Amino acid sequence: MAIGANISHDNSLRFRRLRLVVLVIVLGGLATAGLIAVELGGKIRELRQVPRDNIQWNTAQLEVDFLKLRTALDAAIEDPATLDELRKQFDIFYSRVKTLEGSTQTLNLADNPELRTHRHDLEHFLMMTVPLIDSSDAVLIDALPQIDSWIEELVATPRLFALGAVQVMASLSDQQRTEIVELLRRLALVALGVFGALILTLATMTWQRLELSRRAAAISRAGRMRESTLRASLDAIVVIDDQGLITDFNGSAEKIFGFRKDEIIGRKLSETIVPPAFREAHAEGFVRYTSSDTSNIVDQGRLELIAMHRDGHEFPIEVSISETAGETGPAFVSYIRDITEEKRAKAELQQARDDALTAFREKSHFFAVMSHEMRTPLNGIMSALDLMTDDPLTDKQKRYVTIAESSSQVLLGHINDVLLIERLDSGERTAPLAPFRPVALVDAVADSMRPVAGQQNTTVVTEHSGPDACVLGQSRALQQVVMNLLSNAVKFTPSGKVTIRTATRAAGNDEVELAIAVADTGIGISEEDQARIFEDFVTIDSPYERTATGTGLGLGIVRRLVQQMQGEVTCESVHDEGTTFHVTLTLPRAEDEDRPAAASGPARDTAEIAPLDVLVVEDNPINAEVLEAMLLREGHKVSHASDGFEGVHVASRTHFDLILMDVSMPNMNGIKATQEIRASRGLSKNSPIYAVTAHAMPNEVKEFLAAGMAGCVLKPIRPDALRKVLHEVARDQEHGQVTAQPHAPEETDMTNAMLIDLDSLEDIAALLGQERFDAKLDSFATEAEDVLRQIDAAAAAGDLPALQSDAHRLAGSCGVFGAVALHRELQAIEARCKADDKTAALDMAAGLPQTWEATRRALNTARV
Amino acid sequence: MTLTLRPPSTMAAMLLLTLAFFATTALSETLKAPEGEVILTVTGNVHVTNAMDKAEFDLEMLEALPATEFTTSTIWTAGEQTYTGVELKTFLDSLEATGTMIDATAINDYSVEIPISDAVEGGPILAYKSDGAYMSRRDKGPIWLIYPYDQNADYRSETIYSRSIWQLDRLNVK
Repeated sequence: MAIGANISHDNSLRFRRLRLVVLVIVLGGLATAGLIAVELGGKIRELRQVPRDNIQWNTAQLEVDFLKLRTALDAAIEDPATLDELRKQFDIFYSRVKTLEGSTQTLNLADNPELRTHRHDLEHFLMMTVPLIDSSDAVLIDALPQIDSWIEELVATPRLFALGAVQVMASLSDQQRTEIVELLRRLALVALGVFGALILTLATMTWQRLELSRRAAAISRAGRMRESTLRASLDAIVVIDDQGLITDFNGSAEKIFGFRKDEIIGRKLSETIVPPAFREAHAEGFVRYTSSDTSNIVDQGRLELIAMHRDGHEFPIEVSISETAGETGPAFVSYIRDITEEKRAKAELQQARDDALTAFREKSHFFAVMSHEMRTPLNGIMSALDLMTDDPLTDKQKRYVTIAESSSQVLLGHINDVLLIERLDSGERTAPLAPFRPVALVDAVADSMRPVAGQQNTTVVTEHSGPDACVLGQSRALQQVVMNLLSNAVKFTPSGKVTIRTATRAAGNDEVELAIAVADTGIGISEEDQARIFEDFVTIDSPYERTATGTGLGLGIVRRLVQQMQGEVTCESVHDEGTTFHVTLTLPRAEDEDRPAAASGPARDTAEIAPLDVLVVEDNPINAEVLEAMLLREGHKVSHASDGFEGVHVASRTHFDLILMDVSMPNMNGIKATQEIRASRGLSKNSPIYAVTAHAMPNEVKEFLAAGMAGCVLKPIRPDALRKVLHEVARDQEHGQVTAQPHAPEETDMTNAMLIDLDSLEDIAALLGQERFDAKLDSFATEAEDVLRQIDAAAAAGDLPALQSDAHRLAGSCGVFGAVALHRELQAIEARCKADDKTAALDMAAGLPQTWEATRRALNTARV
Repeated sequence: MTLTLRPPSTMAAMLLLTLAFFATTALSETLKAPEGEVILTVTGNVHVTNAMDKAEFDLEMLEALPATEFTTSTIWTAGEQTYTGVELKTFLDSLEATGTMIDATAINDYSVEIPISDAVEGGPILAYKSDGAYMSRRDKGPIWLIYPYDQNADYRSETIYSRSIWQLDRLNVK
């Protein structure tokens, strides 16, 4: 465009110069032609207005008149009577000579010396004759011979004069003709010049016209191109001027907005396609608008707005507005796209994704439920196998049982994996942090793996560097991580060596950076597999696949747990040389605890305890039988009830030291049965009741405790876990505490969860902030200990109303801080006081300090 | 008119009577006879006469007619001169001349045909005076038909020059 303008500028300059030259030529030519025309006109006029008489005629007539005069003279000499005729002829001749004289004077004929002589002769004759003619007849008659003699002398003169005049006239005519020819020639030349100039002008003008029409064509072509661009654009294009009036509206716009171009041009944008709700804002924005720099609409890229169709319905649009120069001021060009479809498609996509997620969750949930359901029968199998080993077996049978046991063990591991994954994915509360020593933890895991490793000739080595720090963290999770990595390494490194390295390093004042590497000398993992080994259900093809069993969830669990701890896990592997997994964590430093943190493996409680009377309420005969067998083996006395209803009935008639209550049973479930027992006046109404369940989610545990249970035993029941419960009950009995109360538990999630409601605590912590929360906890502890002392005093004094009010007071605070176990017991005491059941109330009050002690510890854990 | 409702014979009689009346009237327009030398004789279609079918004029009679005067140069004379005479139109009108052409003939027997259409107001005159003096025969007199050459360019043509007859003494209207 800029070059084109230069060219056309040059062109117009050249044009102007050329035009000037042509103009000068034409004007000059015209002026010359004009002058010549004037001259020629004069000549023509001269020719037309004959300035002289017919000289030839007159000169010829001179001769005639001279002859007539001579004849008249001859007649007069013969007959004097004809004197008058002579006089007349003389006058005629005289007149003729005078006429010629006038004519020759006009023509300067006299310049010719010959003619002058002739004329002079004629005049001389007249001069001499006139007096004689005018004299009397007598005198004239006498003079006649004299006149005759003069005439004789003059006889040749008129003829000579006539001839001379004719000659002069001829040359004069020639000269005149030559002049005219010359003039015509000049005129022709000038005319030719002017004609040439005109041709040139015409050519120039034609060229200019062509150039002009070419340019006009180019402009109209550009215009048409713009038009067709506008028309063809898939986006709607709406142009408005600085008054907000629509000046252009393309075909797509017609389609999108339903307005025809001819009916919308000239109307205000704000009165047509801007929805009523936005019109005011639009108008204000328009008034405010000064430049695109300050506008949040113009030249701001794509915006999503709402527009209105001609029929009044509103729809979402994507619009990009830019400012341009219009005819009268700024104009605004909007490129608009109807995004109704996109929005709908996006919503559909979102819906599809949500549906898929829901389906995934449902599937995952179904998976979890299935796993639960599988664990129950597995429990039966494992327990039965366990019992079987107590009986004398043949070697062959022992071998089979061992196989069955290890297979069950593996199956249980898988189920637990699935459940763990489900729990991690469902975003359940992370376990509370506890202080532990990573080095000890790793050693313990290594120790536990050595027997398995030894079976396939694999050695497990640990190497530690850095300080043996004590950190605060989820020891269970870390233990699981190390266990999974180690068992994986061992699995794929038969007859090899697995090295676990830990490295601790202080990171700042309060934190410890922990790096754990598990390196094997196994077959390695190919690069493409390395990328996906942390995904779920991934098993790597290998020659050992047949021997290496696994769900493929091990590393998936590792990844989730490490991520949960805000750590990082990576893998490096060289084919046929081995694989190394690196776990790095940054954990807060903890005060050294006197308890060995690494004592993760539950210590086997081998101390003998007094035989207990145990009631097993269990609807599943196999599970019941297994449980009975376990208890009998430990030397306890067992009774059995096959559902809740029967359980309540049996418990009312007999005092049991312990009731193991299945939760889901027909007729009456375990929770309901527990409530019934507690509410009855039966003999076992205060016996500790433990839930036996595969469902041990925190909210369920809460429900158990609320119903009056003391704790729970997870299915499948392991003899160790069962033994622990039996020991607790026996210990409580030795201390004379026969009331139902939660056992003083290990530092486990479950028991903590039974004592305190972590949900409530976290809510409060979130509400107050950690500092104030800690302060509140402290003041709660102080209050609790105060009130407990008062309760003790009231109980000692047997002051039931005081006991009731104190219990009520503390119950309130317990509710706030989620101390559910204490809260429940206090409520029970309050209820007993109300019922005036002094014995029960005092019994319950006696158990409070213990519950408080456990609660306090749980709260301290939660605090960190 | 008196012609209405008359028998044909009566009508013819009436017509003859009427013609006779007009003829008498025409004859009554007779010119007086010239007393001096006759210098111009008009023949042909002229209805006012003073001789047998012709009108003869002496200088006095010409001068009695309304005179016209203009100043012009001529190709035959040196310088401008004022000519006095009777306009050809006035002259012919006075003779009730009818026709299209006039044969004009001079003393020297020069003769030329002049269309009657030349006889217009501001047109040629039968001049008898030049610069106030009567023109003699030697000076193209006594009568010279002069056109106002200087006043009208159309009169500066060879045709007009040929019609500018001097020493004029005869006119025949046809």
